[in-house]
Amino acid sequence: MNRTFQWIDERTGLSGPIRAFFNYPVPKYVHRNFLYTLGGLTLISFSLQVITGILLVFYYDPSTEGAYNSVDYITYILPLGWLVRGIHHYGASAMVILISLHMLRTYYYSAYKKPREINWLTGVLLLFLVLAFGFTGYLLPWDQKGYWATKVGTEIAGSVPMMGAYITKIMRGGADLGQATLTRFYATHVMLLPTAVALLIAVHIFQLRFHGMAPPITERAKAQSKKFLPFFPYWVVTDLIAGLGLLALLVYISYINRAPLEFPADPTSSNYLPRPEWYFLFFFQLLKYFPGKLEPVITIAIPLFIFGSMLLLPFIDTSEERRPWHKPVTTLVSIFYIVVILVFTYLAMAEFG
Amino acid sequence: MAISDLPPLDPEKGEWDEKALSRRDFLEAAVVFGTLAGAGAVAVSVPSMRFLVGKSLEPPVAQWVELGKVSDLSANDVTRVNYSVRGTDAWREVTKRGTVYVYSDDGGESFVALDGTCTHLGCIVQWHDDEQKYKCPCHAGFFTREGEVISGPPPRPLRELPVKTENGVVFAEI
Amino acid sequence: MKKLSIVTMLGLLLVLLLAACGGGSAEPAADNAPASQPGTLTAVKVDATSLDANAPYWANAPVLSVDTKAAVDGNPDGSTVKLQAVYDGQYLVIRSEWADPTESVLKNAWTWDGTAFTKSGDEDRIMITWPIGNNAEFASKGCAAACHNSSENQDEWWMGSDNANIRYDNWHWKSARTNPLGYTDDQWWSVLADPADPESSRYGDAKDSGGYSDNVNEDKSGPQYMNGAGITGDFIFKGDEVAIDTAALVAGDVIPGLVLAKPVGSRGDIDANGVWINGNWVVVQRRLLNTGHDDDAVFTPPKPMPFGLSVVDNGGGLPHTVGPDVLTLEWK
Repeated sequence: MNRTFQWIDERTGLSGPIRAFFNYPVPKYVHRNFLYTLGGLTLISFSLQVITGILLVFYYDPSTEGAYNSVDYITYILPLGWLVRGIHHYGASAMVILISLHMLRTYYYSAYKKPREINWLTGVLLLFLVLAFGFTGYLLPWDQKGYWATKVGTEIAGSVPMMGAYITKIMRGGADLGQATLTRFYATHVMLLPTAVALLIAVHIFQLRFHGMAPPITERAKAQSKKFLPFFPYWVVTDLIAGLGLLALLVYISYINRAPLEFPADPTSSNYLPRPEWYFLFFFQLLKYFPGKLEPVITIAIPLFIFGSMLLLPFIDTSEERRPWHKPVTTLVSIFYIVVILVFTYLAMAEFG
Repeated sequence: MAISDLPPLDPEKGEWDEKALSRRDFLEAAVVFGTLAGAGAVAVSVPSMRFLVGKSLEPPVAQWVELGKVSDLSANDVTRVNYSVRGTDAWREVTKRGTVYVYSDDGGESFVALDGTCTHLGCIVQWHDDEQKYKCPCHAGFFTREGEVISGPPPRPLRELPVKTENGVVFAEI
Repeated sequence: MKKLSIVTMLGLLLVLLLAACGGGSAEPAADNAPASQPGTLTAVKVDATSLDANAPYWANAPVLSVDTKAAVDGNPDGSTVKLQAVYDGQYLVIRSEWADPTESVLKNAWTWDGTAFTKSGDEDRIMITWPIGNNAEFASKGCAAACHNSSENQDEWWMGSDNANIRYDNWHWKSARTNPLGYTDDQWWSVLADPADPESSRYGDAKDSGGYSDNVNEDKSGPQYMNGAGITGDFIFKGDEVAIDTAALVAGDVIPGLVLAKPVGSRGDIDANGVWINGNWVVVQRRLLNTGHDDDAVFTPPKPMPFGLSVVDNGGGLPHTVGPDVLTLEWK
């Protein structure tokens, strides 16, 4: 055994870096603290999406004629198809929730501050890519929900002044929603986005390792900041326990509530109420209050403002203060956004029942 | 670049080539590298973009679809026609389907056809005979019988389609 | 710190659960848009099913009431059909109940006036139509998607499709022709076999033998057979028929217009038990979830299935009444 190990190490030279990776000192205040597992959990949920996604590709047929039937087959006929698709479907929601909580934790601990700006920026980009994952994945079953949500979604992109019409057409691969749209969304969903997300995660984790944990903000954590534990197995075990809990939860939800598949897309149905996935609902609801010429305010200005301010955050808030209760401005701004999102999500849900 | 900028090499392994690392050589190499990399990036990205845009921006092929016989279309009311016509969707031969509303202003002599797609976000509008208006179920946009916006978010009137009548059959161009 | 972590974890669980519920309620459009898609028939899982219209499980199965409307402008609307469904590991059972003041079971019956026969009578029917395979238009528009009635001339209307790949499974229960032998005529619709004949889009499922036949003599002036088991019975079952003997009849006797036999094969897949009591038809129909026959719709719970409903009161063809909306069968 030892000789085999030696043989491999002599040829790959991996044992040093691997040992260094595993023995990385983690401060005691993050040990067994679930607030610090949120990033790891997001990574685990991404891994689950990759695994279930690869499995789904074995059966999915990316054509307008075959897509619905293949997803129908996966959901109702294929052994354990309901489970794989269920984990993928609900896992997507879990990933959005986890990445949001992870960002909120980072935000309230001021972990985006110097010298961790690049880590924050890659995080914001990852959030954007995860939402793009959701948007592109939605269409793939080619059911009523995906078809109409995509039709509306690509029209929204079309409200960009001047070049809106081009954007819509390029997104759709033509004037209408059709085969070219489905193939584009499929390619983006299964090739482009996973590659981009994996690379960004690598940068994100490298940055984390390079700078180490952000300084603690509570007195109690500060007291523990000089004590360290090796990354493996201590921190890994906590993350894995949380990850298995997440998997169990996803299996349970998939079991009691099969991943939804509506009836196949009918471009001529006039009684279908398009509705986006829940994490876009507040945005969809906001559209109602800005008719006609004001629409680009919602469709363009607000998303640009939100993402722009997130990207600029570490360069605007450059003070040394890290305790949220001593930083009323950032804390209140975040609470304002959270309230707005919750209220409009609630309004939309109340309206759609 | 000077030798002092580079990490020292194990003497057993050898040494950095001092001559090749002289300033002029380095500049030359850097310029050549920059040019080649730039040209390469353009050579890769421009065709890639063109490839990705593909035929997205080309106008769809216009097709005449049959709306029905003159005798079958209502002279006074708005008729909803769900058409289906064979056509190409990218590389796929498909049945294209859509909704057109047809009405007549002169008691059935000639017809006007409106594309049933809401100009707001592309949902299909419904004709409400009792209120004499089209209603979009998505964001409550309302249109008159002639397709003009009454209220709600739609930015433009419903699209009017070219219409022709041949041998007593009405066609619209989609 | 530890307390905080537990709270966070619980919060995470809660959020995920909420997300799951949100996803669940968003499932079928029928739940969200009652104005446009009010009709959902929920099949309840039971241990074992039967054709018993009074089985105890019917008390627990939700009732879907469908107000049937005239399929042809100007005709009167029909009665309200109350639908219920249950299923077990093998079978789907649908119970339907609707008001019908008259029990019509003598279709094309021959009345003897002492010298000659006159033909009269029709029957009551209920039809449940399912798409075979996934059908976007049927799912969003219901039976109207299969109703080719753009022509002003109602004789040209036909039920079916304009593409041989689009087929429908039609459960056609008939009070005179199939119910007496406890089955429903299992049919399918597709393209017109004969463009001039609007009924030629409707096909009977494959059968090896059996099925009803007209009881009519060669010059079509009267019946060929009468019931050897009792002249005045409402039905002649295959095997009981004997050559008509007018000498045995008295004026006013009614000879059934059909000789009935249960079909063997896909056509006889659906068992039925229809009883008319107190001005109501109560019809229970049962079929395998998957018959294994190419001309039948396949049920794979919990996959929702769209369906259409129509009722005929003592007649046939155009004067039927239909459930106007998209109906959806779901499974609990």
